[in-house]
Amino acid sequence: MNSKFYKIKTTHLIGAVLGSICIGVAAGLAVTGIVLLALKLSAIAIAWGYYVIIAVGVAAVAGGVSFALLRPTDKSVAKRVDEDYGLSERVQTALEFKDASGAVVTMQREDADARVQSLSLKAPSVKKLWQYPLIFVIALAIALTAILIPARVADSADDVWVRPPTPFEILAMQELVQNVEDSSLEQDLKQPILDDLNGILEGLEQNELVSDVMPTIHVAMADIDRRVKAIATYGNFAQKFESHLLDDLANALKGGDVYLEYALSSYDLVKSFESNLISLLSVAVEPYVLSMREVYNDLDVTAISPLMRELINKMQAALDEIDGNPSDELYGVLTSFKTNLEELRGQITDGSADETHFQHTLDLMFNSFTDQLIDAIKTQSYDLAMGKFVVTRIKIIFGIPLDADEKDPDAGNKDDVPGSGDDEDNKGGGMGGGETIYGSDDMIYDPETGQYVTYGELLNKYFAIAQEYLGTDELTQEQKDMVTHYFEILFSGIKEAEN
Amino acid sequence: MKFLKKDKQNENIVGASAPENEAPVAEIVSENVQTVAEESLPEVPAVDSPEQVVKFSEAIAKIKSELAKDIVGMEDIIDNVLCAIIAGGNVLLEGVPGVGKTRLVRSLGKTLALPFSRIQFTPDLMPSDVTGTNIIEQDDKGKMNTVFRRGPIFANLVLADEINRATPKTQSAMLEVMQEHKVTVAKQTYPLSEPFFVLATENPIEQDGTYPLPEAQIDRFMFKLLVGFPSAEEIADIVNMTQKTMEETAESVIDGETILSMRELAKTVPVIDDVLKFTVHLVANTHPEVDGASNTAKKYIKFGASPRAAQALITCAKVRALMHGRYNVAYEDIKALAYPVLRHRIKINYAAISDKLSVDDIIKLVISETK
Repeated sequence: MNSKFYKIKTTHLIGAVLGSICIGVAAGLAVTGIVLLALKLSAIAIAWGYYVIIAVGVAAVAGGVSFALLRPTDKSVAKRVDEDYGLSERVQTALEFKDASGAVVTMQREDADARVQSLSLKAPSVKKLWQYPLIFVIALAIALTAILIPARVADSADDVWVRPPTPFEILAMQELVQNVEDSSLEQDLKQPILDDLNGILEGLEQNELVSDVMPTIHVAMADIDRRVKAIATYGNFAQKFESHLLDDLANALKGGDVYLEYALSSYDLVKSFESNLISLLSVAVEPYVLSMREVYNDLDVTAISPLMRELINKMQAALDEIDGNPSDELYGVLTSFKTNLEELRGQITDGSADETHFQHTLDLMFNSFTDQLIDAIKTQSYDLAMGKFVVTRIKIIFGIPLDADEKDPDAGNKDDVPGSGDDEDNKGGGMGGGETIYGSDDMIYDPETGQYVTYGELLNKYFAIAQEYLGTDELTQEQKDMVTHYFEILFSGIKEAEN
Repeated sequence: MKFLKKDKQNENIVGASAPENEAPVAEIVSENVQTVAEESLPEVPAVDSPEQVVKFSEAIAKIKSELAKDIVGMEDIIDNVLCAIIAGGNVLLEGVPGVGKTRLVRSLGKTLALPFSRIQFTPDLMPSDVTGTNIIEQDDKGKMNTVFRRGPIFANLVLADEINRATPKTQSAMLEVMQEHKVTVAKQTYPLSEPFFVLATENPIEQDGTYPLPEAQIDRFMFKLLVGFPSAEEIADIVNMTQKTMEETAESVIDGETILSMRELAKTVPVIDDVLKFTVHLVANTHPEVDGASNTAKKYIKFGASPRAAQALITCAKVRALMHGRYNVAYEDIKALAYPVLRHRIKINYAAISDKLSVDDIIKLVISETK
């Protein structure tokens, strides 16, 4: 074949390269767009880098395959030339019989050669060229559609926060802030917690959706939890003493966990807990200190000395491992108790101990230690209880699922603080006609006043409103019976629970 | 699909371009048959040269020019008849009486300078009336000898007029000669001189007193050409032309040897694989019973064309290419020749008749479905 033929072939080669690039890019755009669209409609989000990898990979594969298919060969070019220029298979025949001999075959080659040489090359067929830009435009449209279409919001639990803050949430948060301010939290703990809570409040006021504030809420909860746990050293001490076989002392320290036994989900409960904390801790701590003391009962000074030395050594070893903060009140109490033990044992050793009043001296020392220990643990336990209350309230306010050890007051739990619910004074409230209606002590939110009231109070209030309507003609008798029956069921259920 | 093998060294299609009438005489002689060299075959000159190619074109032009003196119109018929003669095939002409079929053959005989004979087929025509027979003849010495008296088939150009008026027995004798290019009588074989060409005419089978040619025998014809009724202008020209003389005025321009050399030259025309495959697919697509048969075949065709059709298509396409000044076979050659080659080899079914489709319509559909 002559130079004209190879010129045509080069043109076809360029066309194949451009076509392959076009198809590759179009395929990359289209596939990536389809994947993006599918993931958006499925509410699945992946990093943009993956889309880039998909686009580049698909473009490379599609472009390569396209070029392999479109790549012009001598035969394919000959066929195209014959078709495009109406040469009646002359070029294909000349190519296929290029090595054959004979006059007719030679004349055929010369004829084909002359005709190809005399061709005035046409511009590439518009009909064949427009398809590549069209493919590209379609692919681009798919990709742009996928990019511009908004992603479907997942049908997950997060959906509940895609809404504006409710007045209840803002009001409840303001109430929580007030609760913290009124609380007995140590000042260096109170202020950071207030900052966290005010941050949430500001977020609610500045953002249209609660979902936008959720990150702030989670950060605040984590910060509060971290801060209150950081000041509670009794757990760490208990662990160390337990490891040195000082079980009574360890169990006495664990009395700080008393707050875990109660559902401190309303501030009234927290206050009630605080007022009863000394007695609660006494119950939790005293028996174990007493057990420590009882070891020395009915023993003479000589027998006490080695036992006391063993206790001192173990405490010293544990305290050495703790390396506590001198400003920590609990650490000071424990250290002081150990020092007192050492002094007392020194008196035994040097013979200055008053053997007659030795047991009394021991009683005084252990009683003092008990009081100091309860005082030191009380502060930590209260801080932990308050911290847990704040976190639980935040979760209740925003409908965040509670942990297993957290309890929603609206769920009707009965784990209230001792002395706060079972006395007669707190049972129910009055209603019209002076009749006493019994009600539950569970605290419940009254949306009308924004205050927490007992379930019985709220029920009485609603029944009073219902009675106003029951006395009018706005309801049919059937409807009146139905309403009356409804309240009867509720009241009878409460009475059964009380009985 | 099994494709024909191509031997590029010789530029021939093995099994496709060797016409049946070119089989060596020695191969068909049995031990009980004595071969009589009636006329020795003319020596075939060297064919594959540029001069021969030029002569080919000149010969075609001269023949057409001479035929134009006696024949009005019929350009396509003349082209196809010349194509068949050069390719070594026989032609079946179908048309109503009086449209110039006989005149065409007579004029061809004169132009080609070949012995010409005409056989008018009738129901009482016997095979020996065609082939010849042994007769008892007394020589000068009074001795009685058996002598073979040659029939009208012993010519280079034979017009078998109204072949479907003869009985099947006579038709068979005629078609056997067409196939084998020899006559065997009383255990003696008499080869026919080359080139041998039969141009048969038949009346439309709807006419009374006809014996339709069986499919196996009609397959021996390379082409079936439909001679249409001339136009008014052509009739006027015919009338004017025949007012002077009814005799053919064409003059001899080429001889038998030239035809044979043209045939050999045509065999060297190259055919590319794609065209060959297209040809084979085209023929295969006329068969409704094969796997992947065309929709047209499944719907409208009862019997498809035989492999002879593919042979004829390629052989004639080579001739047609040279006649059109081309040195290679093109798709257009195959498509153009598909009608005369396939039309008598395809049997359409009642669905085609019901849909008022002719054989040519079916062929057109098959071509369009062949890739």
